[in-house]
Amino acid sequence: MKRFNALDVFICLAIFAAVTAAGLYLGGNVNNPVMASEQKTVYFTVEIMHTQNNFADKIKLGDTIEDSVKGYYYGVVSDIAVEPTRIPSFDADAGVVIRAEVPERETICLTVKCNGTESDTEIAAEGQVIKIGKKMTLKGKGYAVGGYISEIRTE
Amino acid sequence: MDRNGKLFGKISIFDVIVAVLIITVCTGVFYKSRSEKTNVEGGQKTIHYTVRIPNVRWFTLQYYQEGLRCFDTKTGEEIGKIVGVRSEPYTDHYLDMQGNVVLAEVPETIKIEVDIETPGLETDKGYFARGAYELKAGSEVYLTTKYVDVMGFMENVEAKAE
Repeated sequence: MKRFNALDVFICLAIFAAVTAAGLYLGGNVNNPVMASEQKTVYFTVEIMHTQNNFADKIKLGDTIEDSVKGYYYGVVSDIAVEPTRIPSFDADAGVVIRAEVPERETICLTVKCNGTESDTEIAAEGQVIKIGKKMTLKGKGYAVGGYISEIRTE
Repeated sequence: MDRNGKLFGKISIFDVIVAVLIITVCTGVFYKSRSEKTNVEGGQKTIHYTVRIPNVRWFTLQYYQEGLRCFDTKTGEEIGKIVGVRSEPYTDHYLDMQGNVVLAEVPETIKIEVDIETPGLETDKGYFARGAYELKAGSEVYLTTKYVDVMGFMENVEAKAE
């Protein structure tokens, strides 16, 4: 049987070091260890603009909400708020920007209640990290909506 | 080298080539990571910089809190902690009926300035958070905190002595 020489040992150690470094890099920054997470009830609100009038009638409290593209389960609808859609519009005569109401369009603020976690660095809803401003595409029974997270709270 | 491809009859030429490659790569990585940190001035310092986040909705201000840790969105590297937050109404440029450019306040929209501090280095080439992440006024910053992922612009980078 061929004996290992010093060069073979060096190569094995180098490969081991490279694999370890790659694992640490991919699995978590060595300077930023994963912080312990606390189980929480997470509420996130998605602002869905420019929906047709009365589209909100399709959404019911308690509806199961999932990710419309990837199918992740999030939670249930806990609150629905509807108001006319308003967008910034420049009044060239007066020289000011106003928030003009868009005819026949509504903004739905949909709040979803989930099981989640909260740590020092992130909040996750059913394992999915959520952030203010994150674009969400959600679906319930018979409808799909898209918008951006405008509020997050935990309890 | 003998007819079996071994130097001095003992060391495989393939082993030698692999060893040389490994040493070369390690040397390159070492010097690449240190190449920008020449002439460190005064050792470890606290680097203070401001990130300006324009044009965000007013209700997002509550999610920018002192004490929150900040990370670079792309690399995940920690780049400091928020030590101050300011906001003011967001204004933008528009053309009026006479063709003049006017500055008008956009309702329900603000500009946020976040002061961040991080341990770092000051060298003759620049400022580095935690020794590796370069901080440059005018550059775009993709910032992640516990609550937000946002793009802003870095301003006012300076070092404080420890």
